[in-house]
Amino acid sequence: MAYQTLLAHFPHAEGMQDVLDVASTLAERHGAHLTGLHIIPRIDLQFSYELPPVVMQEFASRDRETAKTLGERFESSTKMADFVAEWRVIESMETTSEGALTELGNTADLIIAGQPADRDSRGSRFELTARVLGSSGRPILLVPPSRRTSSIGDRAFVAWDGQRAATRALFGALPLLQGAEAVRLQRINAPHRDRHRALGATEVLADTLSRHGVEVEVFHSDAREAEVGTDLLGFADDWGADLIVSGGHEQGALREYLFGSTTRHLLRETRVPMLMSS
Amino acid sequence: MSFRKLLVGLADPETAPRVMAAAGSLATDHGAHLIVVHVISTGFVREDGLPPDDDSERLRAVYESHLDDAAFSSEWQTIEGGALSVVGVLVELGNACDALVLGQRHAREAGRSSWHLGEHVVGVTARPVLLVPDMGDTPFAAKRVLLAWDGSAVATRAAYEALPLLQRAQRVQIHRFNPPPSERHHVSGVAEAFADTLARHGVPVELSRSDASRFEIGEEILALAADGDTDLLVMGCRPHTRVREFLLGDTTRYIFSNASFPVMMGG
Repeated sequence: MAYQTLLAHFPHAEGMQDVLDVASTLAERHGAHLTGLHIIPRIDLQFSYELPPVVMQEFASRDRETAKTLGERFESSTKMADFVAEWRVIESMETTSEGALTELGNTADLIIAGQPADRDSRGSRFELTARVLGSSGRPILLVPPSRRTSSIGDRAFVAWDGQRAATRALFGALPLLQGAEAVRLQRINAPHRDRHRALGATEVLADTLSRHGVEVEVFHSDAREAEVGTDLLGFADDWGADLIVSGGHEQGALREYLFGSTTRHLLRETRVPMLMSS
Repeated sequence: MSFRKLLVGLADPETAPRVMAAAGSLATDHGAHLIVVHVISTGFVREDGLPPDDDSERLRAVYESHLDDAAFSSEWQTIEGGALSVVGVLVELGNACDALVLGQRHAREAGRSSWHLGEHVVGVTARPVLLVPDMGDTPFAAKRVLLAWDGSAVATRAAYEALPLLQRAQRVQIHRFNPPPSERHHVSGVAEAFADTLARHGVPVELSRSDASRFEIGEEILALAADGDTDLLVMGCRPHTRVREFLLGDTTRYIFSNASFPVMMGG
């Protein structure tokens, strides 16, 4: 299977090149249709009541300028490409881009987005890609700024705890895994889940992946929630991963936007692109 | 793309032959390996207080009767649920496979428990579940597919999870249930974009739409299915939350109770 439709989100010039590089690489590799998307959020109406119209117009024209600049950059970068590239600008009806990105994201095989340069905001309940991760029906490939490797998907590190989010991420990443030179399947076992090992689900998964043309090396780790994130990145880095695949976990009964500590840690600290799903 | 590994759950000797037949047909078509399981729950209690039947032998016989001339590979497992419930076992193993195949039982017989396996597995597993009707002799075909889509994450996942089936169909009618006017609609043309994306995967799509209210969706789906002579319905099923663990949404429950054709539920 290949990715046929990719959606890359470009909210601003910062980080655009990283996302563009990854999106173009994948579009080329899979012969996919790439849509570059810029969303102009609506200016907060409360805020705008206090402003004279001329200032509102200034904001609006600046937004259009940004959209135009990004569009030109996208188009010149993809002009000579072998894949079909399409630029799209959407004026959102809301003050955040979440709704529009989620809706359009659901029409693509994979969403590609950058991460904020400000590490602390990553994974926070206000951060756009974290919110879309919780509401989207498609996986998101997050590209950190100044990533450690230039390749993507040669050495894929897959973290799997047997739960829903990780399973969705894993199967959502299948086209990437199929093209990898090496895939490491890191089975995470929470201590109280020992009884599950008897079922051999991890071995079944390794066999399933093998039937999809993906040979994996299986590693098991038993760790408590607090350490898992650190361990995972450590293992991935030591192993030389250029892609991490992981579920984006919600925390217990709390609302979608509050991620478990593992997810938050991965989002904040990863130096390689990460494909996630909730 | 193809299914390469299917988990087939056999629970009821009366419906098992149809479940096996459908699974075998899928396996042959896709080159999939079947893991056929019967999970014995040690904690299961029937409504009438009698111990549950041990159907393992009968179910195994059903499985073995489908092995002659089989063009697919398969294995049988009888699993004691133990500390994990029957649902837990199927979910755990199912998450390691491409899809699950279960019986869709909507007939309730006196003296048997009304507990239905399929209803509890969908919405908990991360993989799509093909529910095989317990009536009729129509072999599984999936040529005229109806895909019910409302733009939600759940419906979207269901569609992608069913892609191997959609690609092999003669016709896939995407029926877009529009959001009610009160709900914000951020982007125009999402249904068309969604159809385009599936079309790029080789799915022969047709797009239709309606404004059915939440309470009418189940009925509308069945009406559309009848009109189109649907032989497979693909739809999303909302995940169970702790409170709603034994309650499915209205639409899902309606379909469970009334669909006489195979349904693939995902999300």
